[in-house]
Amino acid sequence: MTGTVITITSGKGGVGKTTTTANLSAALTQLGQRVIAVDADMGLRNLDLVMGLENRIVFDLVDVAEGRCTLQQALVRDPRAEFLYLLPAAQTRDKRDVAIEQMCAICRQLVTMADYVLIDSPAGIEHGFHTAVAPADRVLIVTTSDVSALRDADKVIYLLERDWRRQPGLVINRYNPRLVNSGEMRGIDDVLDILAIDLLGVVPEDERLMLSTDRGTPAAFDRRMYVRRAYENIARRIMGANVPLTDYYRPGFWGWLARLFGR
Amino acid sequence: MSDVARPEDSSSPSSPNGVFALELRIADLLDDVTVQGASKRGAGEPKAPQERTAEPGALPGEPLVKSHARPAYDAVDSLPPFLAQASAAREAEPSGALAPENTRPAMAAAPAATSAPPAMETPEAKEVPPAPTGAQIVYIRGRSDGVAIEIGVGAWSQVMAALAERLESAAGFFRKSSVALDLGARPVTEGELQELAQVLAAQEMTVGVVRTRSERTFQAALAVGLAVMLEAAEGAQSATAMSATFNSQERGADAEGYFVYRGYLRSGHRLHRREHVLVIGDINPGAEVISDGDVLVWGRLRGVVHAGAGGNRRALVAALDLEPTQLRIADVIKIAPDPKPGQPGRFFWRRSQHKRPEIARVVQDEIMIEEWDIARPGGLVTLRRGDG
Repeated sequence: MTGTVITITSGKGGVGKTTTTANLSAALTQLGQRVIAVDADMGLRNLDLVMGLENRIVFDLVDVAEGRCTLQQALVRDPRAEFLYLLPAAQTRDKRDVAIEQMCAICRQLVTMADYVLIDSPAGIEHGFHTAVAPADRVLIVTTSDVSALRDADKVIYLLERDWRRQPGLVINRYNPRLVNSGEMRGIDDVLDILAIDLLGVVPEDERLMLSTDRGTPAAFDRRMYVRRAYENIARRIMGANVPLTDYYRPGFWGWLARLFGR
Repeated sequence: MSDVARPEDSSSPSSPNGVFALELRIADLLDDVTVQGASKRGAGEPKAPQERTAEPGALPGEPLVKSHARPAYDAVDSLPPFLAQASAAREAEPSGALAPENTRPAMAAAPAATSAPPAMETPEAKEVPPAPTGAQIVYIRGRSDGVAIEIGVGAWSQVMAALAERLESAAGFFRKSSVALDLGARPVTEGELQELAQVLAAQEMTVGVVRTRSERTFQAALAVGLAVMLEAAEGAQSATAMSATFNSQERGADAEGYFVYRGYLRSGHRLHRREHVLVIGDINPGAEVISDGDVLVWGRLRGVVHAGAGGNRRALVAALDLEPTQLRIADVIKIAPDPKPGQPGRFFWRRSQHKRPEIARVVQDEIMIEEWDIARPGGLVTLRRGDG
C-alpha cells in the first residue's frame, strides 16, 4: 500500500501555504491517517516553526539527499499526534542543493511509510517550485481572493498544466465573508470563475490563526479554533468524502460566530 | 558632406591633405554630388505604362503618383475626409491588386502622368516633381548615423546589379556599416529582400532599418526579420513601435487561415499567431493573445489582446464577454477603465453579470466596442464591408 503525495503551492508568497500544510497535516492525522509533512522550502524553512518542532531537528532533507543520514533519522515526530512526522528543510542550504530526481526518490520512500505525504512548496515558480511539484500525485493551490494572489495562482495553474500535466485543487484562504457580503470583495464564485479548477475548501479569515502559528500549535489541534472545522472538511475531501461547502453567505452567520467565540 | 566622415573608415587620415583626399573619395561615392547609374534607368521603364493600364480601378482621388521626396501622408491628409479614410484603408489592405504601392514613384515621368484618371485629381498629383532626383536606380546618401541607400525604379535584377557595382566601386568604403534602406513605394518580396541583404553582406554591410511605404514590403521585411518602418498614411510611428515590441520575426503577411485554441489561456500564457485566432474558452487577466488577424473568443476575454498586430486596422476583436485588461488593434490601444468606487478592484477580476457578446474595431483612430446585435442583417459581413 502506498500513500499519496500532495504538494501545496501558490506562486505568491504569504498566502498561507505553510499554515495550510501544517493544519492539513494535523487534520489528516486526527482523522486517523499516517502523515508526513515535507518542507521543500530550502533555505527559508518555516514549516517546523508552524508545527512547533524546530527544536527537535537534527538532520534535514539535504542530509538525506546527500546520504549523510537515513530517511528515518531525519524524520521528526510530532508528539501531539499518533502518526505525524516532519521532514525539515535545510536552513543553511540553497534550493538548488536538492535535485528533482533526489526529491522524487525521497518521496517514493516516504509513500511506503505513510498514507499522505504533504509537501510545502516554496513561493515562486523557479527551481524550488518544480522540485516540490515533481513528485506530487495531487497539487493544491492556496490563494487568497486578492488580485495579486489570483493572478499568481492562475500562472501556477498554467505552469502545472503545461509542464506537469496536473489538474490542481484549490483552497481559498483568508476568506472574509463580511467583505464579500457587502460586495467589496470577490466571492468564491468570482475566484472560481477566473481560476476554473476544483475547489477543495475555503478557510475563513481568523486573527487567532496567526497566533496559533506563532505558538507552534496548528489550529487543527486546537479544539477552540473555529477554522479547525474548515481544515477538517478539506482533509475529508482529500480523503474522498463528499463534504458540502460551508455556507458563509447565510445571514446571521457572524452573530452565530460571535456567540461561538464569546465576543 | 561634412557629416559623412565616418569613423569606421579605416583609411580615415588625420592630415589635412588626407582629409582632402577623403572628401574627394566621398564625392565620388555619394549621390549628393554625383549622378551615377542614370544610364541604367531606361531598362525598367517600358514595363511601366503597361502596369498603368492594367490598373483600371485606380480610384479617383487616389494619389497615384508619389514622389520620392514627399512623405506619403501629405497626399492623404489633403483629401476630403471620407476619401482619406478610404485610401488609408486601401493602403492597409496588402493583397489588393489596386493597392497604391503598385504605383511606382518614377511613373511621375511625364508620359505616365497623362494616363492618370483626370477626374478628381488632387492638387498633389499635379505638382509632383518631374522625377526623383537623378532618376537613378540606386541612390546612396551619407548620413551622420550611417549610410542610407534609396532604391529607385527599375527591374530588381538591375537594381541589384547597379547596387553591387556601386558598392564594388566604393572598394570597401562602406565596409561594416549599417544601412538604412529606403525602398519607397516599391513592393518587394521576401526573396528580393534576401537577395539585397546578400549583396550588402558581400560588402560586409548590414541592413539596419528598412523604410517603406508599401504594406507588401513591410510584411516581407518582417518575415525576413528586418527592422522595418512603414511610412503609411498615418500612425506610422506607432506602428513601428508596435512591431518592435512584438517579436517581429514571427510576423508575416496578413492573416490567412485561422488558429483554434481550446481551453483556458491563463496568466503568463502568450499566444502569438499569424493567423486569425479563435479561442474556445477564456482568456484570463495576465494572458496575451497576439494575432495578425481577428481574435474571436467564445468565452470571457479578460487579458490582453492584440489583433491586426501586423498593422491591419481592419482587424476585429469579438468575445462573448469582452472585458479586456487592454485591447490593441494594429497601432490603436484601449485600456480598461478604472474601477468604480466601492467595487472590488478592477472589474475584469470579477464575474460579470449577464453579459452580452461584444465586438471591438477601429473607427477613426479609436477602438469602439459595440454590443453584438444578432439581428443585424449580415452580421459580421456587414461590419466588414461597412467600416471606414
